[in-house]
Amino acid sequence: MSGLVLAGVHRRFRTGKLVARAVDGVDLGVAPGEIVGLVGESGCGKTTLARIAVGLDRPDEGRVELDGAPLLRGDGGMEPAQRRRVQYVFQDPYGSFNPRRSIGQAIHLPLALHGRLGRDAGQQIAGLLAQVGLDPALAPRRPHELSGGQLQRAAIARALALEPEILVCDEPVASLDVSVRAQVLNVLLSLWRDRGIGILFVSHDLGVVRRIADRVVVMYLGRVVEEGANETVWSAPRHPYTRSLAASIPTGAADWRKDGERHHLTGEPPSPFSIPPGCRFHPRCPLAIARCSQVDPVLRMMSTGQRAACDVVEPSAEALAGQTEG
Amino acid sequence: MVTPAPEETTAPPPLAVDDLRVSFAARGGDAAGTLAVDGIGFAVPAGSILGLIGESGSGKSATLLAIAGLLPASARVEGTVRLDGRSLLDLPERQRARLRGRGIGMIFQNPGGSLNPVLTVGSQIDEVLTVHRGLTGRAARAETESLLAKVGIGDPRNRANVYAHQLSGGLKQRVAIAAALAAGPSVLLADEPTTALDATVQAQILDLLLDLVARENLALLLVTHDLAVAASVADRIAVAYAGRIVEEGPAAEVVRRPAHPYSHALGQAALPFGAETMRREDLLPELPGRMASAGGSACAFAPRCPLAVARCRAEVPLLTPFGSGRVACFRAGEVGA
Amino acid sequence: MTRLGFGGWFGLGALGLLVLVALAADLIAPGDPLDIVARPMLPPFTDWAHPLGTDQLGRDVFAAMIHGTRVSLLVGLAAAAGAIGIGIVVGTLAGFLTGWVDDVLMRVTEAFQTVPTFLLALAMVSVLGASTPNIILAIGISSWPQTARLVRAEILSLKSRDYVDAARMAGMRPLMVAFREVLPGALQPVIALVGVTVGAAILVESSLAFLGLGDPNEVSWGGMVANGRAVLRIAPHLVVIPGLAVALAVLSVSLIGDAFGRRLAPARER
Repeated sequence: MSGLVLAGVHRRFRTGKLVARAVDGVDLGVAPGEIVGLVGESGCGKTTLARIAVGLDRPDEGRVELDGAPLLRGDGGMEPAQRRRVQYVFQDPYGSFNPRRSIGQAIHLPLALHGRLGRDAGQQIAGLLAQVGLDPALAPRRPHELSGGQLQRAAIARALALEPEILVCDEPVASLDVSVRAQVLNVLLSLWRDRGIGILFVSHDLGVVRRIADRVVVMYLGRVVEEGANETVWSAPRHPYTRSLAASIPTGAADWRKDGERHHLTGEPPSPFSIPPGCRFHPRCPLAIARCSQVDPVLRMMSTGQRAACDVVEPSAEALAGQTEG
Repeated sequence: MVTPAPEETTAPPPLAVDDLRVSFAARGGDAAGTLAVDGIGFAVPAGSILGLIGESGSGKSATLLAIAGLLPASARVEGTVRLDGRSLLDLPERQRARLRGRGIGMIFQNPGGSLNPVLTVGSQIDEVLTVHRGLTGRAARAETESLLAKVGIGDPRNRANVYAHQLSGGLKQRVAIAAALAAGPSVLLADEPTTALDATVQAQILDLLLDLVARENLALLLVTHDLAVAASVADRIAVAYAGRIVEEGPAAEVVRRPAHPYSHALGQAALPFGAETMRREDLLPELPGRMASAGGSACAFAPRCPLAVARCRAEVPLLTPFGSGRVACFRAGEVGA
Repeated sequence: MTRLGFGGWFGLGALGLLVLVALAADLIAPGDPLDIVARPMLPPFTDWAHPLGTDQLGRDVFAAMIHGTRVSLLVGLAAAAGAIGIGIVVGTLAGFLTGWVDDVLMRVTEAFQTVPTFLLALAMVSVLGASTPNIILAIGISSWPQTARLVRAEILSLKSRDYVDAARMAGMRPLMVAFREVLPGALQPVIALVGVTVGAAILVESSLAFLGLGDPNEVSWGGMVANGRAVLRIAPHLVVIPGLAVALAVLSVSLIGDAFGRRLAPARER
């Protein structure tokens, strides 16, 4: 099996006596050559999951494997061979570079640590910068001397230095100006199109995800509530949260508010410290019935082709068999 | 000089800005300061929302701060800002502060930023009521609770006694809105009020703002970088670039049939969530380069503009009437849709 | 280098001069400064053999000033070096290891912080005896908490920066990450503290000497001030001159610390 595979991942955070179940049983896979969009609001666990996917964090339970082999060793370290195959692009480019080093030095670092420096390191670095559309003359510059868009592209160049198979991007364009975002997204799209790199694209910008993803995974409070082919999920969302999420996005259409079918969710996303019993979405769900506060729905295949975790939208076989009322 | 938008009413608009210029003092030994706003003007009628769109460097934030009087003392402000017809910038400082306090409410991007962490949210609103409406004690608290209910906070009596840090982002922003409304202003300024909030909460807050504008007949100046947000709630949109307004008109027009090449580019870059016409393998339409600084003697957008001609690089295009709005472009309306 | 500014250059110049004087003390003012060389209470600028006059015992003020430079600088710099060294070690351990190590070290730091620096030094010298090494030790041990807290706070803040994670993504082992990415950033604010710490150490030394707890075999500016107190009304120069010297030393060190702290801060954008 190739690509990145997360299975049964749990991650809990403790402060004092309270426990936050940030990731509460998630399966996720990214194959080479596919773009997977991971969406959800704050508290859903997508950033935690993304960090686990690249080895920056260790799950409390579950497996993380790359090309069939575990990503992390028993002691928490990583084999260099695994390390180079999955890389990360951070949200804030200015924070992800050491302000004391030039971007050339930042790109030099992974190459040196993995013994991949050729005879002409300068040429290698220049080549990587050119691949992301940056002038190689920028190599000696410090991070603060570059614009946000340029620096984020440099971050991608750095991530590419080890020739990874999978790239995990956590909101890579959220902190950039709108007119600059396309430049960076195009770099990612070119990598995907021309080199077959697999991309896990974590974002809250559904417009971008809808445009570039093959598959989309929707998370809520530490669980996957819906996943499937990109177009299927957005044109026919099954889970009520996905529907509300899609409806919340301002489309610029005059009917955004008045459309009866779309409803804007009430209440706030609850915190992972106090996850509601049963279906974790039921307190805010417009379709919730009594059963929803008791039974935690399982992620399963829906008639439309995607998987969703809701027993009301499409009652499961046992639900139909066992229940007496709606 | 820029003339206000074509809508004429007998009463002066709650907020009218004309030929606003803002420059920030130089740092170090530099003689010249930095020009941030280069002649921006618009009007916001009562009961309507004007969306001021711009990216960083466009001058949108400086414009807002100039109206609110929140610029540093070293900043230079020229031009006219009229609140219900009264010119603000001419007045001495004390009168200016009073007019602003009573006539303008402001909401910031960071929901908790304007809330004092050591006071309960109720007492902060009480304070505004005391200073600007002379209410004290039980009368003030009753009004505070009514304001909290108005912004959609359930159980206002108990919620008034919590501290800001105990509230979520959305609730904090609601409290901030209540505090902004407490003095009974006619103008509301909002600086990216939903950018820091989750999508579902953003929708709620935008709903709330729409309701309040209608019910209280407010004039809301909504500054944002998000074209979709402005398009969904604003009546009119003004697009700012390098310190100037480059296009202004009814929201639907500016979004669907933009006359200025930059507005067009913004619309494309915003990746509307709705219709999809491109194949995934196609790259996204790109706008090369970066925003120029304010104050040039040519069209600031020309270096990045696909339609630029010689005249664009030699003269500054002025904001002139076009359709039901205004555009500052020598080739207005020619950009394809 | 012009970024050091006027203050930085002045400080460097003044300190440089003081260091030179301290090193060349025996050349400039040969002999033991505690020797009685002329009549007592000679005013300054009257007799060029004794340019700054003499004290009430007839000892040369100029010679005492020159030799006093040694003690002040030696104690000040050595004690500060010790304090900063201990502070860096404690702060680094607390910041990186966290958990119970952090808790224990912070409680110890707080314990030291609750006692005023001068009193602690005073107590230690009283117990250990007033010799120069003891004084250095006493001042060093009472001054480290400030540095420790700063280093720890910086490390905790920097550990969570994305570029630290980026270094891990590049394949850096955790220990290397700590030393190459986190520590340099954490140490940089300490440079600003150096000026303050050295200045404070010089002041404490002077104060100890003033109270009679200085090394009796050495001449110290503080001791000179103590000595001149008795005849302040008739011979103010005996207090003013060493007092100015202390002020100059502390000022120059502070200016240097300021200038270097500013210059070495990495430029931040936005």
